[in-house]
Amino acid sequence: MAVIEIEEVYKEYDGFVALNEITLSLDKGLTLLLGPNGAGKTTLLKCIVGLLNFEGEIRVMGYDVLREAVKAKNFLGYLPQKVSIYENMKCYEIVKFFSELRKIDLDVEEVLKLAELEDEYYSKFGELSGGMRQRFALALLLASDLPVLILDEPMSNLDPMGRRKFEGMLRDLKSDKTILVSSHSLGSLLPYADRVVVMNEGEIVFDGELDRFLSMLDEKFKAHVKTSEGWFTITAKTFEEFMSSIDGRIVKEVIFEEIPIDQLIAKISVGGE
Amino acid sequence: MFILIKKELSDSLRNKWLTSYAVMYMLIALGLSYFSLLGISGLGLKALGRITASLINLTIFLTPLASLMLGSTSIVSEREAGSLEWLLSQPVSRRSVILGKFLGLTLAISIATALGYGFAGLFLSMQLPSEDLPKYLGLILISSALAAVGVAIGIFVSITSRGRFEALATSLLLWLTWVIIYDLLVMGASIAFGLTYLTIFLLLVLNPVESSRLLMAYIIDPTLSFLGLTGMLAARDIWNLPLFLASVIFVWCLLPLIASFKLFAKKDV
Repeated sequence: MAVIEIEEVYKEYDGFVALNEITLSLDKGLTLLLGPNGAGKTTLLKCIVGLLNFEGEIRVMGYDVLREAVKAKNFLGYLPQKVSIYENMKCYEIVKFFSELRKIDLDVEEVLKLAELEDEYYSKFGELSGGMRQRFALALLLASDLPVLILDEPMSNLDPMGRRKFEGMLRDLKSDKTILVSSHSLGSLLPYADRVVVMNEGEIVFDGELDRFLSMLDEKFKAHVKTSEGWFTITAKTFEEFMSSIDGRIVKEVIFEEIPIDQLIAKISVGGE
Repeated sequence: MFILIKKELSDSLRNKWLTSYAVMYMLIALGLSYFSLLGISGLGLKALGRITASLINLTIFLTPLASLMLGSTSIVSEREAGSLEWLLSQPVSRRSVILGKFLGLTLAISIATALGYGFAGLFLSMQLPSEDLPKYLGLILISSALAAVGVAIGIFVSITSRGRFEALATSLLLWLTWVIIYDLLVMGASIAFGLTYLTIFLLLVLNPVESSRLLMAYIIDPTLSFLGLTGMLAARDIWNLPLFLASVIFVWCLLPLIASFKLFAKKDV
């Protein structure tokens, strides 16, 4: 039994087909869900969390997300694209409320430290910036140690420093969690993905391991790497190739260059995936 | 679910609208009690009856307004702000979210109403014989029931509305219908179709505000003599009138709640 099982999920909004008979199984590891805006990524993630009604079936840890929603949601954490909790609640109150809802014992200071928001103990959630909100919501999920994480465009509100920290966290977590991350661009998370799923117009147009994805793409990705010797650029086709180019040097920073998503979809279409 | 009730109650008690409602209620209730006493001093228990009659009129105007407005903005505001999405991604059932909002808001409005009544009651207990003061508890209880009806219908409006403005407009229209338009319609129908007193009475009590008003009136005077011939005949002819009125209020509370459960379960967030 897979951790997340999606079977023939169909969803439409006023005649517009957002998800067309999607079938997918996800196990431990980091899966990157790619696709241009309007491809149906957010709709799929919201269906997995049980926020939308749909035809078909989605099970998380064996529990149906619509009929056994509470049981399924005990295992999963969701980070929406735009994080909105309660504007008037103070950060520490939210941590306590979240702990009560999840019936877990979270240490407020630990969560705020994880989010690097130690000084915001008494700040209202509405007073936090977009990036701070993102970090706070993510810290809540990480501190809860949930086995399934559904993250919708998690990098969108983070600054470069926050992004790098977030990438590091995902890399550490992915071995024992099922993480599904959506992105509308082929950004910096690509090298850490175990699997890539590409959606376009409500359908899955590619589903496979990272190396197969990169070879299919027939394109090298470019990264700017900072070591003790300074910045240099690496182009590689696989993550192994990328690591061998680093050649044992201590990496201080990595910035991956984006590959335009439209270019990717066009290549997949030509490839007939 | 207790967590959600606690959260709703604490949010409501921080809400400036509810605080204004409580203060206004308290001031008007105190004012009514004071001026009623000035005009009727020396009448004893009858005086208390007249004061509570004034308080009833205040309750049937203010309580449905506050409860409908708070209920109607409860879900839609959270949906617009995005916090509903966050809440529903936690391990809570949609039914417990509705019940939490319903009980939390009803409790908050009941506390505000009880404060208004309480201060007036305290004032009266110092001025008048106290035999009838326990009736106050009954009035507070019926006010809470009326608040529950308003909140239940308000939540239903909130789920079905596309935005906060639509929800508020619908709740205001409902309130106007309850307190003014419905009575006029029944009055017009009785003239046009020559309805019997019992039909008029039954049509009137289909309105939960009217049922609450009559139930409160029944507590003060079970003969309903001050409502004229129709009231007296209804009190005589309808078997167990208070139970009948309480049932009407209960059904008005239950039906929108059940409809809300069903609708909200199918609603995309």
